[in-house]
Amino acid sequence: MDERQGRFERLIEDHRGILYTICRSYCQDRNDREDLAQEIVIQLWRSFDRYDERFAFSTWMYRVALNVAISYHRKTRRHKRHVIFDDAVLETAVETEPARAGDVALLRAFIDELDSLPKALMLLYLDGYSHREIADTLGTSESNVGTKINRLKTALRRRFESTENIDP
Amino acid sequence: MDDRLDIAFARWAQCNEELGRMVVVDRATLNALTPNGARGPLQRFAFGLWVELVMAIVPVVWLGNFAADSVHRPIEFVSAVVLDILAILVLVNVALQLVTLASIRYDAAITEVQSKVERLRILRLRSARGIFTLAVFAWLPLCIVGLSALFGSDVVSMLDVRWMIANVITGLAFVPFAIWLCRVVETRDRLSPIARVVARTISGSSLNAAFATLERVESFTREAS
Repeated sequence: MDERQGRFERLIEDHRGILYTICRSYCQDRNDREDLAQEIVIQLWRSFDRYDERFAFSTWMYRVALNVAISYHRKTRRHKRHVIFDDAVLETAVETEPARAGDVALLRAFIDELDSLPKALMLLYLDGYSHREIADTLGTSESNVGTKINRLKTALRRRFESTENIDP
Repeated sequence: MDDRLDIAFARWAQCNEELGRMVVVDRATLNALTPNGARGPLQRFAFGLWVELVMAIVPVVWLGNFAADSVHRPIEFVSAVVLDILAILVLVNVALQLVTLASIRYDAAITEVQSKVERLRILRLRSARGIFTLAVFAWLPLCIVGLSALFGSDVVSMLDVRWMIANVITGLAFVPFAIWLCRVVETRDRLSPIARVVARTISGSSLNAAFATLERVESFTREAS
């Protein structure tokens, strides 16, 4: 294994949480999720030459991974998996996912229902990215991001209001 | 209420952090994914397009030769030219798809990439619909060129003009009928996934959906008021 490949694998390992979050958010089915994780890793690897190390790897990874996830999500026809990729990239038994109870479960349900692009925006926002970074990743203006986040928060607030406080 | 929202956001981040620690990356699989031979979705699609391009070049060249050899036989010459024009249109469309595909970089801004992906899809769906429609009208010249190539020009002279006209009229009537039929059957539950894709392509539903997605992507980038 060359140095570049080793560095890439270390970066993927360090940012595996992003990979899982995106796969979980765009695929409900576990098999689809594993397929998507593989598609994302391949695309990240193929684009790795263009990664500029002056910028955070996580932001770059979000861009590539979200682009692959949105395209994959829209696809109606699935490609067969290669035999070589028979194992899952990410070993995450669904059972081991931390219990998302109460309002967090409501938030998860809210995100699941969002269209691809608002979902990407929400994931970036929840991961603590600034409006500027979100705008760059999505390819829109900072003020547009601000407005859209406010709208999403209003919709989420309404969702919370319509349910009793079920947070334990 | 804002407190409740903030608490939910903070817990979400906390859950994700825990999850990030729990998830294990399978090194062996990761290793198998990173050799240069591994193809991602775009590379697989590009490979398919290159195959289509090569397949489209063959009839263009062959029909060009056939037309040149048939200059003194008007029916065969016109048929070959018509088919050659159609084959060139297919070739241009595939080339356009390759150019669009080459401009897609998955590390570019999401709306830019998704807009290009959707335009590519529209190009493909239009091409598929176009081929279906034109194939109906290309049937007669195809028959003439095929018969002439296989059995010689004498066989073509035996074809009845009324038979040719009947074929064209049947083709004209078939296109709207096929579109109507596809619209009727595309929502049937018992339809196989492949048949559904074909029905939705011919009926135009897939094309409409692609335009709607493109509009959603473009409206997302527009300033929210």
